[in-house]
Amino acid sequence: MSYPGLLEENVMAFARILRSEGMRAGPREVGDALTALRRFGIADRGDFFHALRTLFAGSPAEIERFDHLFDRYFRGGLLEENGRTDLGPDETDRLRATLPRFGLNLVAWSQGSETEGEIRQGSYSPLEVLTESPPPGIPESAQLKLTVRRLARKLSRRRSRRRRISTRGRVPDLRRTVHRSTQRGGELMDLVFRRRRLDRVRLVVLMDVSGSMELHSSFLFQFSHACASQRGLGRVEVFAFSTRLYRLTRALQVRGARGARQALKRVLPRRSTGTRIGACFHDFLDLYAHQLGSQTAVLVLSDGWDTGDLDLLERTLIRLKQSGARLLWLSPLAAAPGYRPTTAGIRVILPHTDRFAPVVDLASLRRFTDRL
Amino acid sequence: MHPEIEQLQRRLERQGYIAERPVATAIQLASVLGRPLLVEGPTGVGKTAIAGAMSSVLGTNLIRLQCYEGIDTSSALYEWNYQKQLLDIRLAEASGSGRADIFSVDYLLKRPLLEAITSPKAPVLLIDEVDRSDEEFEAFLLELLSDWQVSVPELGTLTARQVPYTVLTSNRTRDLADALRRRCLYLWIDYPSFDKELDIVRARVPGAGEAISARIVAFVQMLRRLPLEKAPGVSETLDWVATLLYLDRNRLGPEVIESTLGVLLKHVEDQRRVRSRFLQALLAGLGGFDSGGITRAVEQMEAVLAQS
Repeated sequence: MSYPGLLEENVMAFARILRSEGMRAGPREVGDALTALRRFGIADRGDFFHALRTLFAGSPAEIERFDHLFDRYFRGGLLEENGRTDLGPDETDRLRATLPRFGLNLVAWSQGSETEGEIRQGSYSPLEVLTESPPPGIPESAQLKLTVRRLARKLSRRRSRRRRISTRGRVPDLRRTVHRSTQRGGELMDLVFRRRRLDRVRLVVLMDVSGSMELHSSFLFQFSHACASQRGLGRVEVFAFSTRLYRLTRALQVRGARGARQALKRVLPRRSTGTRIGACFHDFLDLYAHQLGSQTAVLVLSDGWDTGDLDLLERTLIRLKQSGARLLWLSPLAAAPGYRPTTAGIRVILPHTDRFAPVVDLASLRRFTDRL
Repeated sequence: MHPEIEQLQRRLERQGYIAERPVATAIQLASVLGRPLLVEGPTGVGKTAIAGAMSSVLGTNLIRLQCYEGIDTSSALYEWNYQKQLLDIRLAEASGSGRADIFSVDYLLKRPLLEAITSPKAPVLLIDEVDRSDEEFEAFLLELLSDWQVSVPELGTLTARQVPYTVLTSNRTRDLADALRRRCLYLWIDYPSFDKELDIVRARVPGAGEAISARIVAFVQMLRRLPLEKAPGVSETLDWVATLLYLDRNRLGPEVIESTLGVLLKHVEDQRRVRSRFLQALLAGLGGFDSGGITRAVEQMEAVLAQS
């Protein structure tokens, strides 16, 4: 308690670490933390801990990360007589180097690839391609964005709760009507109306990144990037799945294709694996079922090869359809000449899809959009 | 614990709100720093109740804004009183007294946010289920929460006399914008531990017997460990205690459970699943609870589940 200066420095150093881990520990939060410290003192490690956590951690995932980092940093008891924990910059770096990385990938790497004798094909992952090679034909990306936009517009079918001004309609916009009437001495001559505008569709993209989709990875990346990175599309969520589910939305929103690619690398697993569509969709529904509704279109990019539990797959597809969402299954494999949907997986899937179409590149995506 | 926080915790408890320590710390911090508090967690853990308890403790009004899809400023902030405006224009005309000033405070209908800003004494402002509103509204909130002022084009800028104690709740049906998160302190409330939940039951349903309450809480705690679509929240526990109190049952037998399951589980699939697959295990768990408390209960339940 006799080291207020020391403690403040420690809080600042700790905040630097949190910041470098991507948490919200800016000057404002640090300022607040110091105010709180002065107010509540540091007599109690619990108060200190809870106060810092309230300030610095902004989501359940960050809470977990915070707990870990706090333990590491203030281990040994901050308030013990000799419990000085002020670290120099070198020590801070070293401390940080010992910390585990907290991407989704951590779990995957530790358990994902070796489980249950999955089929592993190829010696490199589609994601290596997806994350490292530049996309062939960059000008295409702009066209792809336009196509995605058109697709989204075509999929939208519900009127929004929000209204826009219009000269015709049934609900008058009183505010504007009154405004106009003041110019005519309160005579209601022009009525201004409001009508409900067309709601934007919510896109959910689920793309298969298992070994069998290796060939199409660069299109997958471009497509998902086109979905997630443009404004004015409404809500978009992008996930990848193989033997487990990865949420890519955040990573893809990083500015620029190169940045997104870097960010993806941190999220996705390194090695290619088999596919368990059922299990992945089940996880997806557990986390996001409440976001689905009649205004949601779920786009799945997958060949439908499933090495997992087909019963589970069927159950999850039924559940997905019950939410009111539309299911559009885009299969690169189906673009091959002479393709017949005969594998066990695809036979389970087909009856539940609203659309099943061969989409393998920009041209086929366009054709699909045109026909909608 | 710091005396201020401890005191707050006790005062909340007197209001019937059992606050765990992180909750009390967060509330105290939010009121000291004057920052909004964003509360997230599963449904039915008492997120909304925080605001109510806070207003009782602070002795101020609670102003609540329920968000929904498509909520806009005219239902959240203010609306002009058009009927009055039109009427007064006509009146002014008829009496020949010149133009009425129809865009003044007299013609303004205050909605919750404006109400909160213009209150003479800082109220508790509850912005409930902010995740249900859309991005446009969120952007508007952002502006409000940082400057505490509102501009009405016809009238000018209205600045808050007192910054309200603000609580935002979210059920995480979608990600809130980072900018909004950053404006707020963050609190995650999870399902309470067995002891806390029992405390809550004691505080909220005083008439219930101790033994039956403990068994009910144990049962609910076990239910939350099962793979269900929607685990029961604390409010469901309270409802269930009240139900059994009303039915005057003080034993938790299979038929009582089956006939009142709808109070706890609101999905038909969940009810079916519990009836057909988990009931045996849950009953075994209750047996374990009688002999060795909640830890034993969970062990027993999991042992039976593992067998089947």
